[in-house]
Amino acid sequence: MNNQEYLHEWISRYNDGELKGKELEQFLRILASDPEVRSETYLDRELTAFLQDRDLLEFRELLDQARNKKRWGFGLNSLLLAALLIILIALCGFWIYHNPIEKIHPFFQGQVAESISQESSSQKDDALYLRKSPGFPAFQSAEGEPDPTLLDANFQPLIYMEGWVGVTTRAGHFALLSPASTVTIHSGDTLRFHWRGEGLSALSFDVVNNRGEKVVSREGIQGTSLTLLTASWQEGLYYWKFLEQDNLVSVGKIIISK
Amino acid sequence: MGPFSDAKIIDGIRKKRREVIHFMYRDYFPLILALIEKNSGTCQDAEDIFQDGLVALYLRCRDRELVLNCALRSYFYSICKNLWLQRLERKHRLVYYADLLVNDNEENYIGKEHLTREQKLARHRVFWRHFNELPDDCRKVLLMYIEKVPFREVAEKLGFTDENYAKVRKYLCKKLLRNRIKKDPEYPYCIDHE
Repeated sequence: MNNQEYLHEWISRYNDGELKGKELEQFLRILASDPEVRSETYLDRELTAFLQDRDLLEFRELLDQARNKKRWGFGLNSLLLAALLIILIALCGFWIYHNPIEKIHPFFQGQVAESISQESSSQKDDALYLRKSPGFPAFQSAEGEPDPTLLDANFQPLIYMEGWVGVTTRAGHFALLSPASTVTIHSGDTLRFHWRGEGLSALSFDVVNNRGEKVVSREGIQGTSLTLLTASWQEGLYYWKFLEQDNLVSVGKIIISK
Repeated sequence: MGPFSDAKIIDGIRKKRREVIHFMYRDYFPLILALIEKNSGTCQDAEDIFQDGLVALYLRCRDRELVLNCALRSYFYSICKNLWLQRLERKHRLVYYADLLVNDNEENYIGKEHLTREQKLARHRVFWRHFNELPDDCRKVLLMYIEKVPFREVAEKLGFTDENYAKVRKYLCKKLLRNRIKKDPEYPYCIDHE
């Protein structure tokens, strides 16, 4: 043992009341003259008292656990929240990327027209003649007379689609030459679509009514024009859209008036 | 968890019931945090004072029956408020003494007055912090030494080679703890000599 070790041994024994005789006398002299030894002795006594109170040590441990839980509780909650948010955003992004909006929106999940007749074009371009399936949609009362209430309902805008009217998302490749994004025609009129496109793959063309139900659907359009036949279409609002490989290209609105 | 009545909280603290302490942290801590932050303290100060307040409450409950003539919340709030005021006063005094230190010797700087309750609690907290950070075998050997467990038994239980090594280990661990405490920036401010 070196002097320091002896001194601390004495300090411990003094505090335990085990220092006797000459050792005690010598230690007391040191204690009286050296403030550092006094300080060490006091600290040693305090440490002993600290270690002896096991109940209080256990209580301190519980306090630490509670404090850590509080700290980490907040921390973990925040971290978990942030992580969940990031995962959610990533999933949404992934989903939207692989599922174009028109695919996922419930308005586009309506019935598909059962039969769409295609007629050969007598014109030079590769036109397609599209016609609504007969008897669809039923915008009239059971008696066959137009129901004013239903007619009103037929002109209620489809909020979701309204925002897209006039939008062309493939502006670099696709330019719609006619018709305008919103046109008003009469039932039975034909509407001719004409566009210019560079490097476009096959297009799809859909028309939905103002309830989001598909009225016309055609895929694999290769040309640069098509003619839409509206014979037997009820009055109301319709929305058309072009898609390229399931991606929205252009959207417009047709108003069929009396 | 909770809410607990005052009587249940006091009983739970006396019996060191975990759920009661967690309830105190959840329900009482915001009150103390607001108090400390309103009075130029930090969140860390609030945590320290809150812990010291709980220890004071525990000691009060443990040592004798606590009969309250007000709500426990008010009682605890006043404990913490007093502790914080004492600490502010101590810090202010130290700043004042630190100014004196330029011309005076160290004896004037280090007070010799009796420790306040706040100082005792702060010291205990510093001791606990460093004790808790000791290596596991150090904590065990010190606790066994305090319980007067023979060194041979200490060596056997902790897997030391022999009792001499247990003695050396006890000495080194105590030295480590002492040194860490003395180096703690909070420690000198509550040091006191006999």
